[in-house]
Amino acid sequence: MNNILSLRGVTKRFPTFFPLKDLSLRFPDFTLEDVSFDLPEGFVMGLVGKNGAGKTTIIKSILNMLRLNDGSISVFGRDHLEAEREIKARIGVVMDYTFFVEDWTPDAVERAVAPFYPAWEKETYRKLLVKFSINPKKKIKELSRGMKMKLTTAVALSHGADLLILDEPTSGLDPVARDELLEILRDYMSGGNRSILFSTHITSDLEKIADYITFIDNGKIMASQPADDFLGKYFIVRGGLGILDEEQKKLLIGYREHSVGFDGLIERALLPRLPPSVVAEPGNLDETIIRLAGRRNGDE
Amino acid sequence: MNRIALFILLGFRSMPVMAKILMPFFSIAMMLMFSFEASPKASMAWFAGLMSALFIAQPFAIAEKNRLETLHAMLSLTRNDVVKAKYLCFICVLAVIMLPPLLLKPVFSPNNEAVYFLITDTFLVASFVTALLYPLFFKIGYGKTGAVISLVGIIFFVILIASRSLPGFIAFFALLISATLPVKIALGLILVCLSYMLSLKIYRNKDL
Repeated sequence: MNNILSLRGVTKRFPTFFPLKDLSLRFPDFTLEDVSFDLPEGFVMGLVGKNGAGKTTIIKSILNMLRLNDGSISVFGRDHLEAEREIKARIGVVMDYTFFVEDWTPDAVERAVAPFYPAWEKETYRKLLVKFSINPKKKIKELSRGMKMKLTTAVALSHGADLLILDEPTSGLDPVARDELLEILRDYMSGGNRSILFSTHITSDLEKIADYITFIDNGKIMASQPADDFLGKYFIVRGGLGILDEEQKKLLIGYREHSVGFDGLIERALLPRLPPSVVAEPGNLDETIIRLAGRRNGDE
Repeated sequence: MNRIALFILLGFRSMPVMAKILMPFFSIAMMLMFSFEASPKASMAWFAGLMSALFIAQPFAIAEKNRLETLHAMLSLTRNDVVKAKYLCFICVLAVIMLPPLLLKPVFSPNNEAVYFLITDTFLVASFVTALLYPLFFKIGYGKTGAVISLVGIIFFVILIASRSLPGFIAFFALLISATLPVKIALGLILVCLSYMLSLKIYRNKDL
């Protein structure tokens, strides 16, 4: 299996803005630390984590928008700096904001960006505009947020990209628009050996589409594995109050007590150590991420 | 088409329609102004140079307003391409503005040598302003550059006045204006080359 994208030991430090200690205005520093993962060709990888975990930093690093302190990134088997032009011609990008001149129309967007892509598909772009009900003569600033995201997606899908990089593309979209976008991505994946790196904190989107999950928290990769393995590793457990002793409670991640009982996340391997009266079910992505992120932040 | 040429075209496309319409008019106005001017005036060169530099800075303003740095990062371009294109754009715009008066001089004012002085002075002023501004645009962006330049400019003149160096500073400028044409052109080119190298270093290491 070929890896379309590989990160090895990627480190990016954002130094503290005010280096003086105990200063109330001191900004917290952030470090993307020793990030390594692979995205195999033909699969969708979900990059999950809460806001500020480092998802956008990873994506910006891949796109050479940030200067790395350490590590290397290869895309299509080539170093992302040495073959920057060739790589970018084969990547489609959707960010959670538009990056076109607000006074441009979709027609003007095409005139501006198409010459940069040798494989620009005019027909595909036209079809996508029709499919998304985007008026090609309407100015971008007059489009809704959902329409702007669809326009950016149309551009990303119209130059025969082999890799789509999506940074929070569904944030701010209503459920119908989100579902439409996911449908488009499914169509894209059916077109051959294509791959998607999909960053989001709306994990329900990923459950519908992701083959791999990379979970990042506080700048560190906590897990990067096939989605089924990631989800199969954890169970959500529930039960009445007083049925767990203190040792058993410590086995649970994100243990919470409420008026009628408790719930928490547990690794599959540890499940036999709980009493049989506990109800266990496979964890969904949302709950698993919330509990795991909570553990990292010492919320327990 | 070459990627750098495409990028220059992208910068032109991103400019507001009004700026695109005004540009040829500005060129014609300069052409007429220079062609019929009998004696070189530094103030005209300053005006023309500053206006040229303002025109050239437009794509930076548009790019910042519309987050085009992200678009540039998406396209099949390197950071070197971006910097190179911005400076080439400066040369192209100056050429568009200054070449017509130069070429039409033999027709309109064959005996008026002042045109050469005005053109080279304009080139020198535009080069100086651009050489100063571009690295700042790349480092801190268009919006902050205005504030920084104003502040630094005020501090600079306060220091000049306080240290009684203003006459010396004015004399230095007078010396520049009285320099020969090749010296002015060479000085302008040196300033632009130094600025280009600095901008390249800044933009290569910038986090977008």
